[in-house]
Amino acid sequence: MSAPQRNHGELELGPWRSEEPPALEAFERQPRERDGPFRPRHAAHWDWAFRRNPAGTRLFLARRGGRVVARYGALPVRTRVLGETRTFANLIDSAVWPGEPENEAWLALAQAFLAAHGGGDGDLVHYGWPDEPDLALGKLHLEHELLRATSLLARDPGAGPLGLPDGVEELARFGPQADVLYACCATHWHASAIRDAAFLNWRFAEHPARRFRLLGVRGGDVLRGYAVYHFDPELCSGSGLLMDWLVLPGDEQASERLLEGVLACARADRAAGLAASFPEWSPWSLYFQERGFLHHPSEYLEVVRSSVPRFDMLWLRDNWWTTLADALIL
Amino acid sequence: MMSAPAYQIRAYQSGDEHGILEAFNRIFARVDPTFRPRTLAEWRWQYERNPSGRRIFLAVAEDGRILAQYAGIPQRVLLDGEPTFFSQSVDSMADPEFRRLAREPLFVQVGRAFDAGFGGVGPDRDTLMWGLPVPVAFRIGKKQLKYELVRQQHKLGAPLAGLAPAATALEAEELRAFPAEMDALSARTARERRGLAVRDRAQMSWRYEENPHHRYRLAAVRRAGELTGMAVYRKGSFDQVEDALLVDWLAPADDEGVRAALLAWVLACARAEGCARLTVLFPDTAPEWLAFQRLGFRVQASRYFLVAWSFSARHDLAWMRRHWYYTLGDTDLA
Repeated sequence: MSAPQRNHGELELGPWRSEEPPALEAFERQPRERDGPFRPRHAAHWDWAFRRNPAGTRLFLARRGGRVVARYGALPVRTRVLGETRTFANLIDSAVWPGEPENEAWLALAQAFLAAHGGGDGDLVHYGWPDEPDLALGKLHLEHELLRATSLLARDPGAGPLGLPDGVEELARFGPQADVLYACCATHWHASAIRDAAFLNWRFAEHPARRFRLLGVRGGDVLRGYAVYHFDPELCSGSGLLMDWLVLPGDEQASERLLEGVLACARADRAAGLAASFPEWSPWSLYFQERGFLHHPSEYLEVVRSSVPRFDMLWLRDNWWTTLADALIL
Repeated sequence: MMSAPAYQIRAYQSGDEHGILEAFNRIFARVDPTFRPRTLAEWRWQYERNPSGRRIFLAVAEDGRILAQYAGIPQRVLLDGEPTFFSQSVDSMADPEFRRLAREPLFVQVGRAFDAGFGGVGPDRDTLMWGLPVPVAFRIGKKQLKYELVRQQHKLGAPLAGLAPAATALEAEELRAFPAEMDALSARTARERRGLAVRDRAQMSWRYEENPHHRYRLAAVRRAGELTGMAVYRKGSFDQVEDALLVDWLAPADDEGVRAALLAWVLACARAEGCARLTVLFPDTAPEWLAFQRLGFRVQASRYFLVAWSFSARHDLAWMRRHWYYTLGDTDLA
């Protein structure tokens, strides 16, 4: 890793390194910043995001006089693309402190980030749900393009049991069975975040700021499917969130049990609804619609930047399996 | 090595249609095995008889040959009650023989002239240019013109057997022609929808009754004698599937009786023509998006994606995403 660059007078740009202490001040909310869902406020959350992610660290900071004045970063995820392991990265809202020449600091930082992590040998895709300033700057300077206006599948949890149905168990962590389940499911997609135990445990079981409920259906020693549920009254108008869903297509019994399980979780939380997200081309989109879920539009615009032209917005639209789990900022 | 012939970029002039047709039929026949040559009558319908006007810019060689075209189908539009225009980009082409000989692609040069010639704000300009491009046109357009994604255009589809509109005392009446009251219905709907292409009798008659490509069926619903809803139906191909299409739909968003009566008529048409499924297109921000799902329609991916570029800071793409109402009938796909 190269030494921090000195640019623009005393503005110092460079990556945050794991041997440094957490720079929690980099995520203090600035006056013109939205209150986004990702804002580490303690060392454990920082470490989870920037030290312990199995896919690595992506955080650049601008400092002036030793004080953080801007940030640009992402949470990377190992992603299987046409059978090869590549990296996608979920961009975090960037921020520039008041009094800084906004575009200058932002652009310098973003370009330093791209120089380190973009390009053909770097991250294949950067993606995110930017706020308005990031959306405008990203389109203007970084070749960000809109992938979709995110829609959510949602329904009322309805009346019914509050406990998990027979055959559904609550998992403390994911084991090697998850690797096998993912390996079987991944052949249905040209691109998907690698949902092996290492990723799933980091993403959900070890998350220091959110509690996820991990539901599984087993058949003997085999994990037939899992669902991850989360409830935060501040998110999605108080709906429970089906964060992730992995079931072999055709395993109707496991699917039905897991869906009943997450509906029970939503009822137990008195959630206003249950919301999920799948690509519209996926058979799971139709499956959930057949069970009372409706496609609701949202105001969230997802952007992508691909470092290889072949994997552009249209390719990603048609080939990238995503769920709410891919919003690593949640 | 061949060099580019001398050419000029200019707006359409009377008489260009013969050269345009020759180039169009030659260029598209090369890339589309299902292509059927366009006739002069079809061209005149699309570009001379549209009550909303004509939008064509051309690259024309000294000898009169058409080297490239950027064209649009204009729509009179009301945005928050204020008149303006949109244009749907269609039939853009560049002669492959000369495509790469100019300093920059002819398609791009003509597209820029088109933007400058027609784009802008106000009652006489195109506030929005939009289209449902093929991937190759999108990839050029986003780099060299100003194409931006508005949304992935999903479709709503349902098996006829699974659809049962609510009971209503209202009944849709099938019509042979659009009535004069279409003007008032269009104006009333524009007040509800904020962004709507004018659907007055002149526009609807041109779009559907006089259409040289397809035969459409239309029906209206009245409340106390007043025209309150209208639907257009056709059996046809959309997104590589041949089935029943609800092509146009103009009804108050919260009037379930009108919706039920019109849908009952559409279903009867579709069943009579032996269709198995009904497909409809709405923006996902239109009230119909959820209302039709509640009736049994399911959201499905389509290969289409809506791109646009706005000339208005006030009515930017975010505004269009929220407030612009359109149907399949706004496009040239059905």
